[in-house]
Amino acid sequence: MITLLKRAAIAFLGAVTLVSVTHAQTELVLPIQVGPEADAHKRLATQYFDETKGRIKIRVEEIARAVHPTKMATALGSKTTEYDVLPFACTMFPLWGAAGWLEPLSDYMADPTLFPADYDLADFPASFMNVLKRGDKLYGFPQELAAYLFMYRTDVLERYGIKPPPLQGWSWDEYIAAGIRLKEAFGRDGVKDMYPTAFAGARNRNTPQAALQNIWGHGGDVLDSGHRPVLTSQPALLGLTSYVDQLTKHKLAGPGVVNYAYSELLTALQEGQAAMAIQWVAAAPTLLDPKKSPKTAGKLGFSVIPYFTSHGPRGLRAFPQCWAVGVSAFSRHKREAFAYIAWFTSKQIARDYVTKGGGSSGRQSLLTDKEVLSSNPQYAALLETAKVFHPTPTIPEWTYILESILTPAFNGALAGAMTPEKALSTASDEIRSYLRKAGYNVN
Amino acid sequence: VRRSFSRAPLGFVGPAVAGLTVVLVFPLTYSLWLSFHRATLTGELRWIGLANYREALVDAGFWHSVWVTLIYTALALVIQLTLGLALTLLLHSRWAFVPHLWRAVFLLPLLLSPVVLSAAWRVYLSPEFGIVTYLLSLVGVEPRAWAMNVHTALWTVIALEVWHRTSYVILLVSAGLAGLSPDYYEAAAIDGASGWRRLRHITLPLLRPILVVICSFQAIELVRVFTNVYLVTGGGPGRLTEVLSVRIFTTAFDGLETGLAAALSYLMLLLSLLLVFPFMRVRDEAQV
Repeated sequence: MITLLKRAAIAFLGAVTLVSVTHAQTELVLPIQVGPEADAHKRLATQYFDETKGRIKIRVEEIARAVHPTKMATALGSKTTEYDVLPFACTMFPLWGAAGWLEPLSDYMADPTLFPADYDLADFPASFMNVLKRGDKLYGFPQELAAYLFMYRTDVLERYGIKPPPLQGWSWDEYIAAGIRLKEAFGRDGVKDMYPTAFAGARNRNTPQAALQNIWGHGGDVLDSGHRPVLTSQPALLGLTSYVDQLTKHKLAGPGVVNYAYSELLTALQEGQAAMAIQWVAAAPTLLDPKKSPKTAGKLGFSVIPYFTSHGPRGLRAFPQCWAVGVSAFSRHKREAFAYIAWFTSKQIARDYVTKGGGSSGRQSLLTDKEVLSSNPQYAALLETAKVFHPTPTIPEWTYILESILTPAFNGALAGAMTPEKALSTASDEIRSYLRKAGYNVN
Repeated sequence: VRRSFSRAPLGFVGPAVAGLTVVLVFPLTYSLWLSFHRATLTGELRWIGLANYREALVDAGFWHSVWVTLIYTALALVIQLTLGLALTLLLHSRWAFVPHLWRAVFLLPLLLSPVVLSAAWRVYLSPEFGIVTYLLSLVGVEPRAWAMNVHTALWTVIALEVWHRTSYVILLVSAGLAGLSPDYYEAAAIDGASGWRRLRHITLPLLRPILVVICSFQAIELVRVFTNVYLVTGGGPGRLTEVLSVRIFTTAFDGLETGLAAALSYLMLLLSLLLVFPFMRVRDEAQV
């Protein structure tokens, strides 16, 4: 009798263990900046939960766009095990990769149970993949290609008889001329709640990312091939001056642009306060959504950002940006996290992502797909912009240079706290001093 | 003679001492130790002695942020003290209309979180959507980015500071006034002293100890200002409102240089002590 009871108890315990093991749930935490990218992850997390039969739960932790890099650097610098899946901007990779915060994906990719054979890695542009590599190791899968686009209100341009730009964009002179025509027309018609243009000008990384496009467009740069600062060159000065002149000389934008980063610029467009703008492609799905943006939906055109006649429309000038997803080197669930990013960036899910409001895609096949393009006209301009991407430095110090040196300098020039010349020389001195301390020979 | 030793007091003070060690002594000691290292959030840790302090002291950006901090502290302190004192005296005067209501109204900003308050003011000050812009437009003032204008940015954050914490001065001065004996005023009235003479020769001298305490506390608070500035101007335009704490923050979390940021923090502590020291002396003299 006792033996029978013992057996029954053992069988019961075994059954309980089996049930708990088969129903064990792993929660993966995914910290991401607020916006369409986060919305897409939240939506697809539910689908992934169902597909894994409830084994994997994705918790999306939304972080304000302005503080995302700071928050992540603090968390990962303290080797937090809290995060598993890491979406990151490609401009962060030189720092994150060098710091060892990302897990190399190669070993997981060799495992056929985690990485499907039909994943089609070749669908991502090679230049895109190279950005996410250190040595021969890959550290992330591209989630989406990103760039500043020139956006314009087709209805406003039409109303005032201005021919929209071609896909390759206007020249800077054409852009300024259109702005001046709009300003005069607004003045004539008593339009007080709309400015001809809007762009990033806040003390935020969006400002140097936008202003550098003017510096590159003129043939200037931040560093030379030996990492020595070259910001005091004449082309750099012409570039920054042209950026600042939009506000101070031509007065084509409202005074608020000195406070504009991505979110403020998005709101200004949604509220119909700008006829044209230089804004990130990520804003397009929101601006094309009639429920979220009734004033711009169906009335927005896209092209490459303006070029400078000295370098022509093929001149490399656009700030290259992409978003990728990787696995935290400190995660306790690396295999599960890898399985999720492989699923999330797979062809099928990437299609779902772009057609239902994600910012864009890293997959060429989707950005050129007619069905996708019909509901996302911005992708044609995005692909055209990718042809004029200007390379950025790949040193880990680039993040600091962009965030903490160029940001206050360019914002200061725009707000009139200093001349463009002074802003460039101050930034140049600070970069030299910072790189020298980091061990670079920049004398 | 063997004296018996009771362990009971240790049991009472032990938890408090342990708590203070964890939340105060350890971080202070660790950050001091860190300030002597080339330490970064990416994992670098190397002893460099006083190099971080040397680097800070020869950096023009550091001295600029010290200067901005001092200007901010001095202006905000003078305005808060003058305004707070004036409003409190008004509330205690015979001209005060429903003083209890006004006292509560003045205290409201102090109850709000500085983060909420700063975020709200950022919206109020927006040249496109802000209520301040709208109200000023009614009297013919053109819209402008108050928080990002070279001429108004510092005044904007000072105004926000004054709006937020003047109520603290009102609170303490009210407590001080309540403790003053009416005998002095009765005697002064018999002697025919005017209101101004009573204020100058009775009220202010008697309030001196509490005013010194207010100055000390406010100076410490103002030197380490962060939230208002970071959320409203971010230190801009350019670096015009970059106070020391914002510089420390960007050094630590954008530059990832925690060692240098720790050294800057200790220099800020030194600045606070230097500012408070004169007030302490005045207080000691007043007590003597």
